[in-house]
Amino acid sequence: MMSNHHGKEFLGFLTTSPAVGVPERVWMWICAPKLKVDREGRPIEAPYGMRKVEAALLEAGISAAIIDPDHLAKHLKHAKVLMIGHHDYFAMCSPSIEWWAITGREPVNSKSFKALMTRPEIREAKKRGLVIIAGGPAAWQWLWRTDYWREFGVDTVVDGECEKVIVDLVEAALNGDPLPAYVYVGTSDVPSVEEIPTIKGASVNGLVEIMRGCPRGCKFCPVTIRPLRFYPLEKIEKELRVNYAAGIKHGIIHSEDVLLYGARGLEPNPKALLKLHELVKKYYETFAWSHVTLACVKYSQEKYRLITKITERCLDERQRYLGVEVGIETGSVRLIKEIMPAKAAPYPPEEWPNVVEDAFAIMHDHNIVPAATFILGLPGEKEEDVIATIELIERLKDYRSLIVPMFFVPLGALKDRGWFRREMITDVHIEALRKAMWHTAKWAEDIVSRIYFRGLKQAPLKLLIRGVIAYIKWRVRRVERQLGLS
Amino acid sequence: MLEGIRVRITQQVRDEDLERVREAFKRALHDGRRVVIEVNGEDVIEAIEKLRELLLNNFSVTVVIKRACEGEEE
Repeated sequence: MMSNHHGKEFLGFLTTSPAVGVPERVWMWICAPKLKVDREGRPIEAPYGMRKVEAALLEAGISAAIIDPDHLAKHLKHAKVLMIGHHDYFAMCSPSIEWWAITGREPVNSKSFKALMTRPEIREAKKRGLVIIAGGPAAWQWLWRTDYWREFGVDTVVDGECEKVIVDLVEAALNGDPLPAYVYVGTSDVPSVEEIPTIKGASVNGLVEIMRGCPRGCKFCPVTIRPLRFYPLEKIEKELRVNYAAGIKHGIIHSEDVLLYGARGLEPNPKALLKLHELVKKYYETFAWSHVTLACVKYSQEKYRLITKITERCLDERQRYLGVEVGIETGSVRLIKEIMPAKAAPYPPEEWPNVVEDAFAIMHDHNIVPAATFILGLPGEKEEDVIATIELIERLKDYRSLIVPMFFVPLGALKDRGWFRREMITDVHIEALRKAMWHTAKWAEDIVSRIYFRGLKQAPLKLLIRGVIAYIKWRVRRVERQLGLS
Repeated sequence: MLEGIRVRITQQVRDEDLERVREAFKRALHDGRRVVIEVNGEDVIEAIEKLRELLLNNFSVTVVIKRACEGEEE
């Protein structure tokens, strides 16, 4: 599955679900249309992480290219190494796991990956000695799915930031040397900013990284265990230029918290941030933030009026809104204190629900549209914690946003804890799911109709998505009636 | 890639193997080295299955798991 989701990153979320209300082919066209490729099957835009690996290999003098899965066959006749990456190989991440649990059907992301790996051309190439290396953000899932590890003939799984180890591995594979089966990249092998190569080809939706790591230390998050590193503006500009040269005019700046770019600890750096946004706007007509933290939205606005300053510089006749993903995680102050005590910082953890609401209000007033997530089934969760989350979602009803539930997945410092599973869903969880569903349905209609899709070219997609939303609402109402909830 | 604290274990991962891997992780955490686990046996994935809990509890140490080469000294 290699797609730019029609240039609408939020549509990519639909790949975490099975087809709903339309045939699977139509669903795939909505959420993961095929990318444009050149004569060799190289996509014009490719996933950013893969671009980094490609760059590392090319800089080491290795002949490497990213190939769209549909064009693999002709290359596998002579390729020695096939490297695969995926955002969610086996639909074990959120929100895939909850859509699977709720619908009882496998999401398209995992289905399409399995279909790829069982294609005859891969099987035949494997018999001829093809080496398969799997990595990417979902590499950890292979530890749980060793059945597929064996079935697909994966030789090596690499988990973590791989820029410093991948060249050695591929060289070993090319030389026919024995490969390790598993590599986990720990802190000592994480690349410094200087060791991270600049992408050589355009990235999907013009995504460029501005920093790695996060200083907040939330226990459920794997990013926080990596050291914090900021890309200098010159490095960012090089990647913006690569995308611009490929005709990309709409982009995403990627960080776990864009508002912490150049920060001293958790204190935002207004000068660095304004320069960053001016730079991005020089190359992109429109852009989105990948993620910000809600505490930073509130604090940077209250102390520096930064949200106003950034949106004044960036929103114009071509860009009317700014999209971003944010984490609500929970409405429970108790869980915030236990699992993510720095989530609200510099505000005290007790203030978390107010921080969330204030940040949502600031974003609403500045045409920033968040896709927010919260987590059900955090370790130690009690009924009153879920009720606190429901109350918080209720407080957010007037703010333009999508709110998506996530089932707890053991990652980061909690990766040894238990999964949240379908059979653990209680009445309060159902109420939280309903609250989020109706909030999202209401605002999704508004966003789709007024903001997200513009012009005649996008009219069919807009119509289809409105149809899907209407269908989901109808299905949910039916389930609610069956459960006696309406 | 293969430099670090080397631990030779069996494919079946006996209790004493687990203990030696745990000890290697502790040392690696202390001195910032990698842990290279060499598995005696054909099926390295079987060993990985049995090491999963330990691997999931590791956050900071670089771990390499490979099949032990014949003739190599531990």
